Amino acid sequence: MSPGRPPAERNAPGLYPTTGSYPTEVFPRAGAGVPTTGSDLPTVSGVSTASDSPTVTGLSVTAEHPTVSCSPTESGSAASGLPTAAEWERLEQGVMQRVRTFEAFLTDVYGGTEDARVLTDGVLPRRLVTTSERFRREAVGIAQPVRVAVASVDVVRDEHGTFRVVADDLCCPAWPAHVAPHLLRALRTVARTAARMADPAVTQAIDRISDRATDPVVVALTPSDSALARQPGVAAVAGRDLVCRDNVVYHRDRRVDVLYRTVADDLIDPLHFQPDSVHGLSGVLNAARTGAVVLANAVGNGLGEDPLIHSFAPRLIEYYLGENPILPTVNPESFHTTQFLPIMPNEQDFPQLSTDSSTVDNSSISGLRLFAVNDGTDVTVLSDGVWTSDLSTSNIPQQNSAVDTKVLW
Amino acid sequence: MSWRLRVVHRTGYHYALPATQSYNEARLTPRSDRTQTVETSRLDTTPATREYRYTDYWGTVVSAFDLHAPHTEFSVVATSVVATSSPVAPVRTLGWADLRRPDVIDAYAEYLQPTVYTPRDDELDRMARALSAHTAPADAVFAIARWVREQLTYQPGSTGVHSSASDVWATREGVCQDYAHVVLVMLRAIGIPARYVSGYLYGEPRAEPGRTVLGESHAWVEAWTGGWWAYDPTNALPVGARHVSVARGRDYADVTPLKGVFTGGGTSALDVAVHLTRLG
Repeated sequence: MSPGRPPAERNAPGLYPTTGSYPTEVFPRAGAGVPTTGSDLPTVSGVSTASDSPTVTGLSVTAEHPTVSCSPTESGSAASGLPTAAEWERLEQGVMQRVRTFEAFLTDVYGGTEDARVLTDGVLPRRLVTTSERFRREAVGIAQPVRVAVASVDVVRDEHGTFRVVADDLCCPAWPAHVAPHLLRALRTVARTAARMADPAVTQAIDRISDRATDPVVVALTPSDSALARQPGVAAVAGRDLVCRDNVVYHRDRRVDVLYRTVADDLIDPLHFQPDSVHGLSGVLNAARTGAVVLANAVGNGLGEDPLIHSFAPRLIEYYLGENPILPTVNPESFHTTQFLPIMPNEQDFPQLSTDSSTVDNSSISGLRLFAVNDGTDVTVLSDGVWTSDLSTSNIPQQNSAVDTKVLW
Repeated sequence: MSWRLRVVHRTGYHYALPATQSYNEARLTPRSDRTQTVETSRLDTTPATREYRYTDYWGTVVSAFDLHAPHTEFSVVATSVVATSSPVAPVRTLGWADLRRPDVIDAYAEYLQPTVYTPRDDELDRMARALSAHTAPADAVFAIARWVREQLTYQPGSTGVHSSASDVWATREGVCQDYAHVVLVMLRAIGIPARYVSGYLYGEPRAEPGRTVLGESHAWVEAWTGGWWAYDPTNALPVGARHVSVARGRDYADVTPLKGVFTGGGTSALDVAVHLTRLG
């Protein structure tokens, strides 16, 4: 996209409110939850999910592992608050839908040299993007086959028992170990796609060094241990282990095709962001710009988590996919008057629910965290344990507030 | 009236100790637009590097290059020949009520917001409102630019490259970058979208063709009052045949001519020299 286009040509100027307020808060991301490691949690899947709805992006979404059964059975779920089989299916579909939508949105905003379609069509107010602290202009013009390779979506049950989304993590979700093989497979697929997409001038130079179409090199740039690095062929590296030379990233003498990173945007490239960062790699953003390396996840994805933009998610789903939103979101304005139902696999009964909404205490709520792995064609949804958030104040914290999260399951 | 100008901008770093690695981006290449035509442009570095070019969010041509051998000096020479044109007249199509329209504010929000270099300032806000009362938006731009020029003393060395408009306003001294930043604060305070322009100014109004002068990087502003148009507050000049623009953005940070990071090298010093020749 590019800045400051005149607004006169808007197709539908009335599509969004031009005055009035947008919600200024959302429920926090449920925290950098400690993933259950080593556990063999079930894939939330088991359903043929060939998408027959018309998609504008042309993505066909299919579940990769159609045989895993849903863990909580129909009978056992009611008391625990865990989803029934039918609810799992709905959750899976809803998570896929959100990930495909955010992927399309971020590609629209960052991926091209033309102005973003969602802005010229007047679907999203331009200022929500251009004034967002999480918009990274440095990443505009970087085309990647996938921007959201892995995401997490947190859901809670509202007072009617309906699952609602409270947060999406599109940057760097902490995922449990059983996600790793799925993620690696997706990253290798992404590398092959990137090899086909890349500028021929760049590709020629690259292809002399490695054949990324058949055997792509994936490294994990993570300050702390990552389960991805325990996958065969994946090296865990620090920024100082890598070098960027003429827009190609090398690890020792190997060319890197995909850089999975848990380093934040502001630290990833000293040339473009914080110049004194020791965790990142100078030049990596321009390497991504040439297509020589793919960053997973892409720089700038936090834009989709910006509370104001996040509140437009239902409209973005309709815009990019032509579908109705499957999962409702938590309305920040009604957060304090909604009694969220607990999801606790170890308890047989719900606590007595208050009927007086003024005394609703959401200082400790529980929900489910779902993970999505996206290879550009297929989105695979995986589950994680139940989390609870201890919110220390009665206000909904801002997005960056630390929330103490425990995984119970 | 049109001029042809050759610009030779030489810049670079000296390191106290050899730098073993450096990554740099230069924003030194003018682009053709409705006010100028770029006939030629090239960029050379010493030591030699492989240049990677891209266009950034603001539409500026960026040259990126990295070095991996020890070096104590890194220089960039950007040479271009540009045909310039007469000033664009101030745009007077919109009044204050139009500038308050939600669709206008939405489209130009990033040019109305404070930035690190152009923070909100109560005193400048008040003055901007006073100067713009009972005038059309385009005239408010002139009034503010002239007032800033009266208030500030042009004083090379008085401010650093990181001085904000508030720093400058406190001392009332500065250079072109600072004049531009103060004007931007005031225009944004009264709801006129405004942006920073980097470029060059040929200092002699009546030079004969063939004459070369020592110049400097220059900066001015553009205001949006129904269309973009430029004004040079440092010299109280319309932007015309003697100006060559290179980059536009919200403030200096978006258009930094040369920036880089390096390993080793100890302390570094930046050298800049600009030569402008009127070719015709």
